[in-house]
Amino acid sequence: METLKKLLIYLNNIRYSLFFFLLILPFQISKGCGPYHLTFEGYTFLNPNIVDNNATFAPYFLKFNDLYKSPDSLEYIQQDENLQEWNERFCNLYQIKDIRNVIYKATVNDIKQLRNASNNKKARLPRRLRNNNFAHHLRDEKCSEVMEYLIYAKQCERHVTVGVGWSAPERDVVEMQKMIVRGKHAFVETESHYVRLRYAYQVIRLAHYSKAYNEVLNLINELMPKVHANPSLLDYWIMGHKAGALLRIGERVEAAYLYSLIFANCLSKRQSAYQSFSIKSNEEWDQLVLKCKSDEERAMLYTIRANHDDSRVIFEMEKIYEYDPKNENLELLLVKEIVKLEKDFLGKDFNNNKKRNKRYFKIPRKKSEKYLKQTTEFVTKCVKEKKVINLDLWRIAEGYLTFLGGDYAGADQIFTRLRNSMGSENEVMVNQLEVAQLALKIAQYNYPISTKDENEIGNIIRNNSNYWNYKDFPNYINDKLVDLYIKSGEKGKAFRLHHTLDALKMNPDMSMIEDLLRICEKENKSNLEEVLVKKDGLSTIKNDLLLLKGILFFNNGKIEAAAETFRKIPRNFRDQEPKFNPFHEHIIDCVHCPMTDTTMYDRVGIIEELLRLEYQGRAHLESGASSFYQLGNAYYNMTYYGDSWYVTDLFRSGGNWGYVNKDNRYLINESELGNIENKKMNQARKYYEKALDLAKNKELAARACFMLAKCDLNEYYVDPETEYHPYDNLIPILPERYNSYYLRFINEFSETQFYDEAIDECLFLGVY
Amino acid sequence: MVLQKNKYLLCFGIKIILLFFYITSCTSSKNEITPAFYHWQTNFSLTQSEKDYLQKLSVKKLYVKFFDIDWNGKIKEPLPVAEVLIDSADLRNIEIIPTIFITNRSLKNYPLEKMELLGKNILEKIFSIKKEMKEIQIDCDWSETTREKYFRLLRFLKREIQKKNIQLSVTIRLHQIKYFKRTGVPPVDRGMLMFYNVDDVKDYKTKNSILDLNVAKQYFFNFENYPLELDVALPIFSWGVLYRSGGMIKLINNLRVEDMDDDTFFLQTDERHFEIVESTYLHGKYLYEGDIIRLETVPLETLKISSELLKSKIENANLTLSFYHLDTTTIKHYPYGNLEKIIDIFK
Repeated sequence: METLKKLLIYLNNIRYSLFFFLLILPFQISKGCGPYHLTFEGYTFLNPNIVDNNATFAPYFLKFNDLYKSPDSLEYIQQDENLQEWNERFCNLYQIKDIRNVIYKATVNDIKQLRNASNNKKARLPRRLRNNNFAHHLRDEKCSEVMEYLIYAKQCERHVTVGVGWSAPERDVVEMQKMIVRGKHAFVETESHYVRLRYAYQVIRLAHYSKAYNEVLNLINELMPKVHANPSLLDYWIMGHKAGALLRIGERVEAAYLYSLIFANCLSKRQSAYQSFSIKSNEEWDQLVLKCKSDEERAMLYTIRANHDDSRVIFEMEKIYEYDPKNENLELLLVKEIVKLEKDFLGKDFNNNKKRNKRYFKIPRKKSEKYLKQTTEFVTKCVKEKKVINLDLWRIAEGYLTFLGGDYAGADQIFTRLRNSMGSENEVMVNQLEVAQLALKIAQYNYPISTKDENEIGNIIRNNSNYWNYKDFPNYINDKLVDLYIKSGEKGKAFRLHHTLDALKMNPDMSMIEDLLRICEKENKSNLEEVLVKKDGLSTIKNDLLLLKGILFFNNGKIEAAAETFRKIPRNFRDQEPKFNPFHEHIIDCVHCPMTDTTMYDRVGIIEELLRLEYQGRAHLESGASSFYQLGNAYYNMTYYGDSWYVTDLFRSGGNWGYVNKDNRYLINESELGNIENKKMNQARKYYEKALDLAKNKELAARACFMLAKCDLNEYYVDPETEYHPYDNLIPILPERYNSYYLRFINEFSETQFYDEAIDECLFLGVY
Repeated sequence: MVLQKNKYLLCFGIKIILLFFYITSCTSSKNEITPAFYHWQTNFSLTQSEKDYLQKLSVKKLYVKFFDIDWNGKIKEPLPVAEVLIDSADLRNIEIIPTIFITNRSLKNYPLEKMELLGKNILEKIFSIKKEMKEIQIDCDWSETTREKYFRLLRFLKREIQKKNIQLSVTIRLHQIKYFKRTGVPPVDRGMLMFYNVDDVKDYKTKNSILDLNVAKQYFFNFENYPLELDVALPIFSWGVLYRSGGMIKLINNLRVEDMDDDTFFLQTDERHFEIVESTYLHGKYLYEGDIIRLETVPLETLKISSELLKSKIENANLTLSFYHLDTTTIKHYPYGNLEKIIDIFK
């Protein structure tokens, strides 16, 4: 029973560890080889819901995360608003779909048929409108003015459609003038003031599109006093044409003023009004401010200027606040600015991508400290004066900006005070405060990280829902910890937080291996340490680390230390590793050729054989050449070019064959350490030279000489000055310092049997 | 008598030979220079002062940007934009050369096999604006990835306009000469070397992106091997490069030092940098306190040195020397006498 309980606890631990493992190490995302869009990599902990998403200007100012809902098409917004207004004028009795079909889909002929149907009960409705309730209404109620207007408006449409493409038709100004006359006539004949307004809009638009700018103004002066309709969307559409005409005739300030009104009040024309709003000088701006009839209007001018992508928003916010402290745009702009400042300051010391952010995005921006200070001062002023709408938001912002400025104690004080004073009714604000406090807490960890800290972080990951609700917390914590571990010399921990074990295999680092081995051997590991060294549910990465450590010893020539390390790996693990026989001779390099030898060795076996051959070579100088030749083969075959490369390198990329690189270190996505390829020929060369010196047998000497020539060729490949590219598939022309053994082989050993064999197999040699 | 006749003949022969040497010595040492200008605005309506300026400089050619071609993401086609509005028909003795700017992304996004269609559209559009011409120029900062498409387009254009005895020219950047083996040589009749925009305008450390001779000299290679006959375009424009928070924000066209002489707003921090000390509008752009402007102009002396250098590198007896670009503000800063001196250097 006790055993079963222990087993359950154990399995539970495994489950927890696995879960924890998956939580903390999901961050090594392979970016593959293909192109990917380079983006700024940082963190944000703002909850988009802290501001009113439905605020009129939210889409304009909150261009972050999923809050920003860019209008798919301005045309659709315009249509929707227009349809909504038609619907209102018909007491919201009909479906928008039906109105859309009449206003936008029906042709001139459809409406003409509809008009006929209203005069003649026997006449049929056009097919398109047969089941359309709105069309039925127009027919049944004999809305002839509306139908006449629709026919006219549809006939105007082709004159005002913006042409794009290679053969955009030129505007028929004469025809447009005729349409204006027709429209004016219909305007006078029409009783409905709403329909009159629509006629006025059509003729004014026609005049604008035919570039008769003064006529636009004259038409407005002539027609608009005769329209007594309720306030309408069309008022702003007409205002847009007036502003456009004024701009064209040089009345820039008046035009800008009208555009600011349109921007403030008309969603469907907001974007175009913003684009057309243009002020050229201080004098124009001053006149524009004077034109405004209220502080709200003046505040809107600064809001428009704040909306420019590169504006110094805080300068504009100060003016908006001065005129209209309760302006809802202040909050939107504040959030927009905090998002920018987060990029500049949040994790600026430990962000894993800080170099890249600086290089590609120039973030943090220059003089951002000064800007942060200005922003914080302004927010503090707003908090003190208490004139803004959502004071809690400004208080959180004050604390958060203080935190971004590096004053953790000050920020903590503000947050604590706020927590005590803030009620729980505003859940979003309470949550935002908690998130800000969590970010602050993580930023406050310092090195050395204690076991208590690590356990605490483990608890955050396990229990804090904000950690999971804010997608940047995992990276934020990881990057912070990595920074601290590097500072305290715990390189292994730091590496594992960002990388998989496979990444370490590509370029093993002894200090990282030692650090991680130390953790593996620790009796009381913290939650975090458990995760870092866990291989799967049942074992740690200790054996993998020992394997890497042994390989490092081996590659550094410490073969006895390597053997001792390999022996520490349990037999069952060692047996799962592939076995090799690197002592054989290969005229042609073939890294993935199947091994036909019956005698195969694991790494310990290989080292034992190396030591035996070394002893034999030294002990029998007369006959030792053969031993040295075999040693040469072993060291050759265990390099990048041999079939036993895996003995000394757990990761080899065929793609690196053609690339010359300093230290043979190649860039990889998996880790900044890169991938080391074992292309060093020095050990093999040493033994082949001994074999050549000592060989009594000309055949053996020929073999050693040939292999030395191959060593030269391989070293030529990685010479930084080499222009030869193996992928060119051409026979390399070896410079003098790399061809001595080839020449010697040709000159001294051409009589040997091995020479013929080599000529047959080696294409290069045949050419030389 | 015979002797006298022979003497006479001999004397006549010597005179003829001397005359021949005199004529050839005069003509062979002087190049034929055709002064020209670029016009890069959408409204081609020259002021009287601009017309006078062109006349005094004996300008023979005007490279007028007829339209740009840019990629339209909605229609998924390269389409003409910013078409010129011609309102200066009375330009006697000045040849108008339609010039078309094609954005690189237009080529990047459009398939290779549609280059002939693009070429056909371009020609139809040009001829709808102007019927007669002797030359058409294409301006495109093509890259290695778009080279194949661009050259195919040019081959088509050349083939089509050759039938009407119209020449095809293209703009050439300095680096395209230095590395012409790698970048390729456009299959056209002539190239216009744009001797400007030589450095990275975005980089704060850049001294003068329009024309820095130290940078330009790094590209003075391979002129003698370049297989295309080259004309030259020299810059007479100026601009301010606006930096905010360390990053380049925008260019302020036609900016000159006198535009920033009000010390309420501008503080000159060194030869070419100005700090905005109080937020202000300048040339229609709103500048904030703390912004930095790098003023880039091309002094006459730099133009002279450039001309000397280019003359030593470009062998072209019938060279078109074009100035970029024509507008009232620009030419005010280059009295025609100064540009005459530049033209003389090339002779």
